[in-house]
Amino acid sequence: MTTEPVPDDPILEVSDLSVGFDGFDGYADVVSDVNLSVGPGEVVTIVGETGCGKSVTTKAITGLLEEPPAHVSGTVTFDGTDLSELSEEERAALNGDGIGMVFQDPMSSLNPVFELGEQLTDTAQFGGENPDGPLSYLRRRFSRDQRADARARARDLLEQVQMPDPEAAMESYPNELSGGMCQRALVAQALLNEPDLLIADEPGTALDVTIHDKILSLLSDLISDRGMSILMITHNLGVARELSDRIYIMYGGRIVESGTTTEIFEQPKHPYTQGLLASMPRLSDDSMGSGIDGSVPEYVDPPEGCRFHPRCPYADESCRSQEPPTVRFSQTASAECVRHAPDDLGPEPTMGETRQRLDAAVQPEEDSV
Amino acid sequence: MTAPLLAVDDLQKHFDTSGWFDNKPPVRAVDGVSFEINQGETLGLIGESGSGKSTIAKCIIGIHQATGGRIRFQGEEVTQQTDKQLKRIRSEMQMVFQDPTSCLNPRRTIRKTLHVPLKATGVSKNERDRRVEELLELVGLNDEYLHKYPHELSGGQKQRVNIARAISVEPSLLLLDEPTSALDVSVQAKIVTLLEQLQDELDLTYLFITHDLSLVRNFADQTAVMYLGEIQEYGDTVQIFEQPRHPYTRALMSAIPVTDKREQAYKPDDANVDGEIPSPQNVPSGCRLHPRCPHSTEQCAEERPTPCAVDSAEVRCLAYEEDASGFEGLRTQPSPVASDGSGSE
Repeated sequence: MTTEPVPDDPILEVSDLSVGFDGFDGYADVVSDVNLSVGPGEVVTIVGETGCGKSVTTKAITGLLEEPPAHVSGTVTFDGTDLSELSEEERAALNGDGIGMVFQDPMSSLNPVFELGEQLTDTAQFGGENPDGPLSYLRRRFSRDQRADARARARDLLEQVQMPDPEAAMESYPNELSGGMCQRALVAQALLNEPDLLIADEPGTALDVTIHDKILSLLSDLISDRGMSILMITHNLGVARELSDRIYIMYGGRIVESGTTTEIFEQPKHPYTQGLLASMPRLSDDSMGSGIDGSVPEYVDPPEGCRFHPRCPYADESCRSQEPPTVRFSQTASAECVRHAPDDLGPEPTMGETRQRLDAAVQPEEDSV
Repeated sequence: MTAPLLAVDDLQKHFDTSGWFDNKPPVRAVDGVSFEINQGETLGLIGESGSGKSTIAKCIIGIHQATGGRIRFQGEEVTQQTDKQLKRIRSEMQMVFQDPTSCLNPRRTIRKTLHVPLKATGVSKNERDRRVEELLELVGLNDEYLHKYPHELSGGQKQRVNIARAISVEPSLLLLDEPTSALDVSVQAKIVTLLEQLQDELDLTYLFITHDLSLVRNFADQTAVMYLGEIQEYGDTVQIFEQPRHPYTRALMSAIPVTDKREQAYKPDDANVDGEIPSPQNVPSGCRLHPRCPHSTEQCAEERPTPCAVDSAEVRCLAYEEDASGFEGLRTQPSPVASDGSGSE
């Protein structure tokens, strides 16, 4: 478990967050003891592969998980208020107003039966607020002035996210727009009520590289203009490096390493981070690493001790028998790995050594699952 | 020098979209594409979605019929395959698709799945089980997997089974259509390593289709960059990465998020392309990239560039034609690795 060096006055603070699900096969312990914080104006990224619990973590933060089957414990503090103490209505009001969210799949996150302009105007007019009742809702919905104001705001924002021909886009249905345009619209929608924190779940991953790149630079411009904080999720280390101030690496529902962007990329400590970095395809003539054997663990019956040990090139008995300790390297950097513990006798994982060990294991043999 | 294993010459595939009453232009998915692959080599075919890269593979293997041009495989013309030819080339070339899950029959065990191609190519019944075990070993799985169903396997393992199935008929050419894009990076690296090993062991030839330019860097001998049905830049992989010429290649490279400073040096820093890929039903006049290109001039909108040789690469861009003017911005761009000095050892 990582004890987080909290930035002064964080806007979002998550401590000891654990999420599990009841399933047919038994209880799946998906996320455990996650601690993270996001400071004002900071861009924080959670990096991890498919099935490591990144999206579940953000859904737990925004309260989008249905309980049961989910079991959520731990505290989430946003802007000084403990979210678990809020009523359902207060929480719903906070989403959108205080916390905005951009979802991964741009095509399926917009309502296909309404024009884009209609959806954005609704968000601009009613998003985050809690109308007093159906009468007040109707009064406002059909008030021509208010509606026109909201529509103008939506249009302005579309212009800011560089939507080509915003006027025409307002009158289009989502199926008439391309993926990149839908993603822009979603970013605009999330920003309409000027949230203090934006949670972006793999923004643009479904798009082509050139468009993806555009969306990312758009996001980073918007952040610096508004002083907004961002909690981003991605599986792409390159994306994380370009945008973020701090990075959390997640594996098997735990945060295995955290640090500033420079620390993670220049001195990765955890064998998983090192393996991931070595597996990235490259532009230079350095050869690409040979990847990490096996796949993300089952959550119903997870490996004992360190969850990475079945795939780790340094694993030994101590990894299997005990939970890995948190080793702190600096004010901001820490990793959960027994190999870095001061009293450990095994070799210390370094980038070069990990690369060598992973490459050596590549002789065609059985994938451990 | 022997004849190339696969030679594609001016390949065209237009999809007819006109109905009874309306007369819409055809979709020009592939429009005049030429390349060659020698035995034992790898050609990386790069492009964004909608650029026609999968259509090429499908034309080669006979899923689509080409509407123009020629495809020669092992010196034999296979553009309009006869049934007899099809039977022969299908055991000489195989395809691996992007989504490993939907390519496996969920009701068949791995053993049964791998038996099908063996049966079709006439391997005797008592031989088959032995072959299947050999194949699984080749792709790094053990016989534990024989009696499993696809849903019990992870994505990477399923893709290994797909590769095993493709090589089971002992092909000489594999068409790999984005075989790793549905997988995580650590697994993707594993599959690429496996493909490299198989190429060494079995003397395979690959057409590797992907949208990720960096993936072919250390894998492909030759690289072709496609945009809207045309190859824009084609040449030695090293050459293309160290000195990308075409504005589109440069834009693709500069859009890749990288993980360290040394890599950063390889990214050209001139402008990005604007907007999005147009519909192949309505291709722009002149150079197809011109509405998005940061270097475009009036000439680009009118004149369709032809591929011209620059060093060992072919570039389809007016800026590299002999009497080009107005492209100083592009032609004087320094090579991205020149400042680094470590690029061209």
